[in-house]
Amino acid sequence: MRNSVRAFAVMALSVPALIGIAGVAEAQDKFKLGMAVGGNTCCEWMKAQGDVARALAEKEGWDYVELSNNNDPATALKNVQIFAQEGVDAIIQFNGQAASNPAISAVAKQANIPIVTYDIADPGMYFVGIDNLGAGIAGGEGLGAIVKEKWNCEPDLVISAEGAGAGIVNEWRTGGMRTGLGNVCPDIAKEKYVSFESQGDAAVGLPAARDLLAAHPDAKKIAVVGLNDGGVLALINAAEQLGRADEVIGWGQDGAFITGDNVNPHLVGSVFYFLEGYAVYAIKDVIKPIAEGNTPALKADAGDPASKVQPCPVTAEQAKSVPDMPERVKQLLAAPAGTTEYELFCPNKG
Amino acid sequence: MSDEALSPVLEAHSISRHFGAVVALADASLTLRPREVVGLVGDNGAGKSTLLKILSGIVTPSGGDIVIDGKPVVLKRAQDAMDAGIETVYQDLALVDTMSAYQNVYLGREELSKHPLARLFNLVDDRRMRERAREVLDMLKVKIPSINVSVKGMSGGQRQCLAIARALLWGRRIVILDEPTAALGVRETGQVLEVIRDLRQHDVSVIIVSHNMQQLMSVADRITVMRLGRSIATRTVKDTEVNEIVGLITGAIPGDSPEARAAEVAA
Amino acid sequence: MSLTQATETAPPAVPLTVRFGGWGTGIMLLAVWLLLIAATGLYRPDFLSQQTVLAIAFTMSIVGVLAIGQGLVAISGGFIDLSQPAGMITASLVAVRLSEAGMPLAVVIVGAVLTGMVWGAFNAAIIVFAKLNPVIVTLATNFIGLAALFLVFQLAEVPLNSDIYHFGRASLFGLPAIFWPMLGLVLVVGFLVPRTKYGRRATAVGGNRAAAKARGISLRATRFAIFMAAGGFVGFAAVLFAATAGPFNPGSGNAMQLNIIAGVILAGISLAGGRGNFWMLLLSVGFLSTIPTSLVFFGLSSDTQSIFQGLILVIAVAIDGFRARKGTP
Repeated sequence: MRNSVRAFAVMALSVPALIGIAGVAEAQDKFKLGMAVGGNTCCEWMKAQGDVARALAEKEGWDYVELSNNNDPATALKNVQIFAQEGVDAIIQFNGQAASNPAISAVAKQANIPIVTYDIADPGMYFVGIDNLGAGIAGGEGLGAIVKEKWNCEPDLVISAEGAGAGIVNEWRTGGMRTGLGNVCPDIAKEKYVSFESQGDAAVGLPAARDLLAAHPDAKKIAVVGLNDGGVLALINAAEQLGRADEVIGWGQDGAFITGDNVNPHLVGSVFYFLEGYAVYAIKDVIKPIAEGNTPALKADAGDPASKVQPCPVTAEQAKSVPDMPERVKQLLAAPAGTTEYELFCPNKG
Repeated sequence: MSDEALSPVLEAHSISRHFGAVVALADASLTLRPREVVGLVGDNGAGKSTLLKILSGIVTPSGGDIVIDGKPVVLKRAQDAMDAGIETVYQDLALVDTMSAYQNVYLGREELSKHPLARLFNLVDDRRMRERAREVLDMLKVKIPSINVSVKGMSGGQRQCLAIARALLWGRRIVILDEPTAALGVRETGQVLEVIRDLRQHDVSVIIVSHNMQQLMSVADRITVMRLGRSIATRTVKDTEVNEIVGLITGAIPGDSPEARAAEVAA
Repeated sequence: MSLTQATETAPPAVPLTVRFGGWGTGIMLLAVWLLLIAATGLYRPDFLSQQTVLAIAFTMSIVGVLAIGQGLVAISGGFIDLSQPAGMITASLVAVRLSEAGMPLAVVIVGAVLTGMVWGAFNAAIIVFAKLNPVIVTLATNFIGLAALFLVFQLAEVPLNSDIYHFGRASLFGLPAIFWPMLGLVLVVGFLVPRTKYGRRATAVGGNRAAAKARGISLRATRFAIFMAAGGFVGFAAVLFAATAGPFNPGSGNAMQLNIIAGVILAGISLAGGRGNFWMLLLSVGFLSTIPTSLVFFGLSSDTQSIFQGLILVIAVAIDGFRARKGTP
């Protein structure tokens, strides 16, 4: 029985690979782009990253092969091996489980395939992504402005919704937000900063958020930062359930829950990265030059990236003018080649 | 001891059972009268267990008739046999270890509460079940630590007695016992045999399969011998002895002619 | 005891654990729970507050209802239902879609519960007709269900200010509104399982399939009934989940699984089947839901919480094995 489950899993995983192989085999002379999407069920943007890359590759007349990393480091490595076997000309990946990045780099290097990685840097890969620390600071300063105005920079508590699974990205974003808040309100005492593990998921982080609030029963004015909107929302929902939401203000990251009809009134701002549209940057600055024979120099450092994605901090009010993700993708694909979502949608261009 | 004047409670006529080309049972007949204990003996493979399974509704016969209280019956499932008043007590499968004695006794036939609201929810009447179970156990002089505790810690004899008591409580008139004392010690065996004897007084007839001839002679009224898928002879215990039965089982003594057997069944 | 005198041979033969019956488990659980509360309260007196009660009661509510379903599967010999996460998220999605369509809360609840029951029937059909082990089947259906859910949606959330949204945030008599249905269901199920014909038969099937079958109890019908009932509880838990969770995704239910199984085992509902008192779920789930809150008051990180949860599961399984050998009813 266990074997048949395993066989089923292998079959399920092989199907996209086989389809990919068939696609690659069809046209030998075209430029071939391989894309490994993150494949974490948490986040709809991971799927959208693949959709946008596919559409842009088709516009360029390239062949496009997509695999999913299933949020699993071993799968991510296997996917790059499949790309190498099938002779793609360049790879884009989002690997949320970055432990396998060194091995992936080695495989790509041996096969002489340039590889772009989103958001989590590796010395052997072109870095395309947000300056997470910068995005964190920008968000923290946005929140700081509100904390200063409403509470004269005297909150009872500053809560960080952490997601340890995101590793350094979590530290950059939540740490950056605390730094940004400190830039505006330097006199918040150190012991007022507390954190909980939200796992970056509003529903999963909820019990821990309630426990943290219970452990600080006297805190009324609560400022919340987090590695993403979901984590911040976990705390806001917990505060609503414990009857303490009146004076909670949260500022998130990634903009996942700041658009649409269902924006929680206590989520006062977020930072858009427009994650779904990263392929525009990758193709403009790395892939297209490679396809045209002008392979750019390897820029692997997040501080000096191959292509830098501009963060877009917004208040909830400003976010109302930003369309939701499916609509953004639609408009992005209709815009002239190379146009970024920041240019199209950011209401607050620095 | 049994009442020979009364008509039989169970008659099995010329029962056969084939499994494909294999004949498990060629021609078996058996008669059980009210308040009678009949022993069923035979070598391994003689067809005893197939006959028992047919009478319990677990195996359907290929041919022959089963008549209970003068009426022909068809036993397709275990439930049919139970409905016809036949209770089969198996060695190991009888009791649920995690349940108490009285719960086991009433399993599958729980007494429902009389209260209309409680009845709506199918609530059981534990008090009544406890009382009745206790009465029946006392009646059969079955000794167990308490009817309220799990049967897990009970001895083989106690468990066997409980299973037999259950048949009585459920108003069964025919109880089939398959090797009831096989795994029991001397004292426990005595206890079980005592309970079997007592069943007579409660209008219950018993078919008992055993390899222990001495034991059968002490508890049974008649013994039916099976050999090679046929019932070859039936003897009244007080008119026979162990040697004759053993001879019939092994074939050293030939079985009765078909006519003689027909006469025996008719009687 | 006087009534049993007639059938008793030697009174001291009844061991202490048996004399306390299933209540020994309850006394032990209550003691451990109170000890935890007392210890945390001593360390941090502000632990003993309404906020703590609310936090724990919220956590208990969803876990408690799911544990009823899990307990029904366990007591009837199905071991465990590993497909609860996928079943719950499916029913939650139905609840969200119905509330988005403006349906009243009652319709939302009925829709979610029916969805859960269909999910249970689907599991039961595979188990019964393919004659497969329930653990493997539910492992596979959970796997398939989550994959299918991911194709259908990435994020769902009940509309702000809908009935169900307010239900998830309301209080009643000082406790979360969602706590009371959980309490009611545990009390009712705990009352009915040992006292009804069907409850007793399902328990017997869990205790000894062959014996139950020999008493004319249909194993297939029992399996279907139990999985559908358990699915109904998963569906109701989905309502509580959707009401409180905020935005959730197909994987949001996975984290609860271990806690639920630990709750069932600690409550003394044997994974081997045939034994258990559902009222004990209030104590075991209450205790388990208090642990993470206590740890936060002790200032321990969430990494330690996972270690504690793992340890408690191991202890619970060990206790379950011990009970099975002792044969306490």
